[in-house]
Amino acid sequence: MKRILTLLMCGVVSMASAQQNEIVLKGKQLYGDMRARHIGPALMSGRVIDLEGHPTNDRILYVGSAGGGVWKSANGGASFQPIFDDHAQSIGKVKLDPKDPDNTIWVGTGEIWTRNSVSVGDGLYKSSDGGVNWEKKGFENSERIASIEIHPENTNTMYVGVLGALWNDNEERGVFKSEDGGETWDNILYIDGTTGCSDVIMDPNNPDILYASMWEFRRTGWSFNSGGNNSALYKSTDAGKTWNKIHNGFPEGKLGRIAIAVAPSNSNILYSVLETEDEKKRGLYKSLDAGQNWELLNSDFGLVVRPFYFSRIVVDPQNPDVVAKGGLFGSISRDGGKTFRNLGFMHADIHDFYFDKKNSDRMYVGTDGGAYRSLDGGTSMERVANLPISQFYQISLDNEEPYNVYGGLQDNGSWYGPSSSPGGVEARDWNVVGVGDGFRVLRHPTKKILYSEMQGAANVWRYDMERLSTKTVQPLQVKGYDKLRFNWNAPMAISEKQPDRFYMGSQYLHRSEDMGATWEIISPDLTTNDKSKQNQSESGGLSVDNSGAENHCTIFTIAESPLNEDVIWVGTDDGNIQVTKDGGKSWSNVTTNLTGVPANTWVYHIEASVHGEGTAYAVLEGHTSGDKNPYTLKTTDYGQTWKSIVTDDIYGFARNIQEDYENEDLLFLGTEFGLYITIDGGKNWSRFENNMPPVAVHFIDLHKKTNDLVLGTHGRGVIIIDDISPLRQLTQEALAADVHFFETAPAIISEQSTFGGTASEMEFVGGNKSNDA
Amino acid sequence: MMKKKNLLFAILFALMSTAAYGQDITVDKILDNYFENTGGRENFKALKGLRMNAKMNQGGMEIAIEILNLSDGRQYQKISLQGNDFMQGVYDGESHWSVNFQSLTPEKSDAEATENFKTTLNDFPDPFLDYKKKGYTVELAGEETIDGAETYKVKITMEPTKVDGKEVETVSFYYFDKEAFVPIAVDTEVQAGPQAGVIQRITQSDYQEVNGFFFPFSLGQGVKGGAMQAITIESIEINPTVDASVFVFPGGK
Repeated sequence: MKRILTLLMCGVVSMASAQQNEIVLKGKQLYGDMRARHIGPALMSGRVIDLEGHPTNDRILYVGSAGGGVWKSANGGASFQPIFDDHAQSIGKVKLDPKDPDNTIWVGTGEIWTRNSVSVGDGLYKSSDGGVNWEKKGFENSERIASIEIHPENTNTMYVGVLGALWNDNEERGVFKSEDGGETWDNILYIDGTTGCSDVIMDPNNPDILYASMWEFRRTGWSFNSGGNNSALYKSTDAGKTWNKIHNGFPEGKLGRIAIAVAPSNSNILYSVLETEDEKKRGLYKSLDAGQNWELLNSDFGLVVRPFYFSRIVVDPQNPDVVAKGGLFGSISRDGGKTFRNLGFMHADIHDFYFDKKNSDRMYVGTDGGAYRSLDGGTSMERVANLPISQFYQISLDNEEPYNVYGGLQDNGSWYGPSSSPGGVEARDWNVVGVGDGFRVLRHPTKKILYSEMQGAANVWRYDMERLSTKTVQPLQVKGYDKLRFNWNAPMAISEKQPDRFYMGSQYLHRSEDMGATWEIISPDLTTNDKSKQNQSESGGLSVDNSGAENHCTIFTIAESPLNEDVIWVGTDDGNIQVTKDGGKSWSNVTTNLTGVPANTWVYHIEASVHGEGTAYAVLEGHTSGDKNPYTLKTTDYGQTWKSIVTDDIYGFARNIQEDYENEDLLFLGTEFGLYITIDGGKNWSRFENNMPPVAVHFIDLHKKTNDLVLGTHGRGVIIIDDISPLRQLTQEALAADVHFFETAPAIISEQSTFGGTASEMEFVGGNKSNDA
Repeated sequence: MMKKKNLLFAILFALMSTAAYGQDITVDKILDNYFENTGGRENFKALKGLRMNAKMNQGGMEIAIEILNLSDGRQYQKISLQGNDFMQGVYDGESHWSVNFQSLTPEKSDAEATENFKTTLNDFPDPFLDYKKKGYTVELAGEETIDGAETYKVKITMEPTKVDGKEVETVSFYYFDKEAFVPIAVDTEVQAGPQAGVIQRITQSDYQEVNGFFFPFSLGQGVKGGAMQAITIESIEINPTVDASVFVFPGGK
């Protein structure tokens, strides 16, 4: 603590002399040595998008994650370290320079397996020093980069496949070429604003031959389309000058996402998996003449399932007959694609493979549950235990000592674990309290009970933490009301005043006074109920995909005022903010009072303030309609008037806000690219950078007793900034004074055991709170 | 021939009443007794097919299974689950295939699995039948007490199995009850997949007569030393009539 104070004071003193009027503190000066600590967890890990190996050193392996950056292993995949912590954490492609693989690393940001919850990238990055420093090399608006190919001899010649924006038209798409090592780029294959390059690959034996799969695709908040007349597979034999479709043997009609691979040991052998209009024609196609002719070999479900999520084919570098394909369980063929079997047991949803270049029995697999390694050709799989790239949708806290963190994860259930633990927070400390996709987990304020849920409120569990028993308590349809529409990430809330009260939102607000045993609907349909956004049964494009992830016109956030239980705020995914002042008897739609926000912008979070009954913050975000601006507004009059509190300081869209309980001007904003803090009520914002990557922050909570700020990130697990109370004292008066002595709470001498934990050397262990006074 | 409803009970009884057993027992004597006690070698050789209807309970859900085997190797298992039928392990003389539980479409097994399956075609109705002609080796590997019953442990080595292209010996251990001379357990080492190296055990009890043959009506399947999944045979049909078209792989590719 002493060091923080000293640094803060230095900042104060030096700034005070420079500024006469209002004193603005930003960035590292503001935060001194306050530092984020990461507690994981890593035991369920998170989505891996891309794997890349070193051409000659089989101990070096890279993992590109969906939301947790790039990780490097120097021990053959036994453990990994992050190397990309200052930039966008959503990764599409990692590529090593073939002639300088130890130093020159390229990273294309923006994940390419385009589910509803994907994060966004912001360009192409290069490191020339093995991942220590990174430089952006264009493609600012590309959102998603699928491929990077580098000429094996003349490494200044490069190709980049840009999948491009998922949610809007955009011209920065297609195949790009550079002849000066990435300084300048030419778009050498462009179709239109909705068709991106889902893969561009180079023939490993002839760098002038390229294959490019182009994909017509689009997501909205309520639908997905894969496929169209523009999806096609192209080949160039003149280093990208001219391109021709190679469809001889493909069926007529629209195509969807096309996977493509060349056998490294035989350039004439190509494999492609097609999503086609005719269901019977879907499957694995093979060419024995470098793409001149194609034959359908196999239509197994494992090959054709969810092309938008699984379109990676990897061929064994030594054996052209060994082919791996991503899917729910991952498929592998050893007879040239005629027949397949599943890979060994892993977390479901397999995205990428990497075969050791010399020993194909050594292989690596990227899944929704992290990275796996195999020593027997994919039969037995072992999960990497130190990749804390878990993707939280939401977190909450309790009042235990040490307090616990609760939350739900993408495809990884619901969990809680301690904020500190003897020896550090490790895998054994975490408890699983839900299955499926997890979202919100809330602890009962006074009892050892929690609520958890799975996608679309298909199940909401009331979980007894002492007896380990569960009861499903989700609201069900009742007579006189429409069928319930729950968001994929269905909102729940509890009350500060009534411990047994429990809210859930469908299109209606549901309230229970008995911990979910019985429910009452206390609102009309609070959404726009726009029927044109409720055709999920037709969503998906060529492959209908109605998982519930696109359910729309639903309530997304619920907040009961901590000061008055009759004041309840509701925000919907289709842009409504509604408020009641009488416990749900009457509702006001205050949406039209918002200023500077496009209609129907998703209301992601409403924070009901402790500083006034009518005071609340609303965070809206429109990235699902292509609007990446941050929107955060404050009202002090129950939504009658709103004032924007965001500035140009903020990069990327925002999802969540947390106010300080004491200093109304101190606010914390969770954005797609990290955490921002204001100490002046939103006039200035600074990104918090001390050990805090620009990871998507989906939820923030502030612990009332410890003043710890706890972040639920979508890619780096739970991150805690211990005791933010010094920031409360950074008032204009304090800044103007020559010297300011911070008030500090008495230090506590911890009596927690120091016996340590049980984690092995290869497991992730989260840091504990510092005990230094 | 003993008519027993409950073999295990009889075995326990035998165990208490007699501790004497032949010192000069040979594998062929065990097998002679086995075939004689369960229906006779010639009758087994004349079998054209078997249809078994079985039930198992998994997590509170009852699953009905129809197991059909023909002497020419064609076979299927039909699993009925919540009103749906899933054809599994179907062999039509050429392709080995199963219906995918998610897409409900038929899919061929991978080439190696099919090749391995074909080595079992000569094992209907029993691998010990004419084992010398098949080139199998059979030897007495000792004596063991299984679930309280004294048994002869008989090792049988059959055609090798291929695992990722490499040949692996295929060995099973049959535990023949010393009193009744029927196998009450079969241990086989799992050769492929993530479970490789694990000893799989099948237990067989409650032998009942069907048209002069004796078959176990109570099966257990699991890992040696672990929990067993109980499978109850409800009926067995000898030489059933079957529509040949059900075996044919219906898919295109």
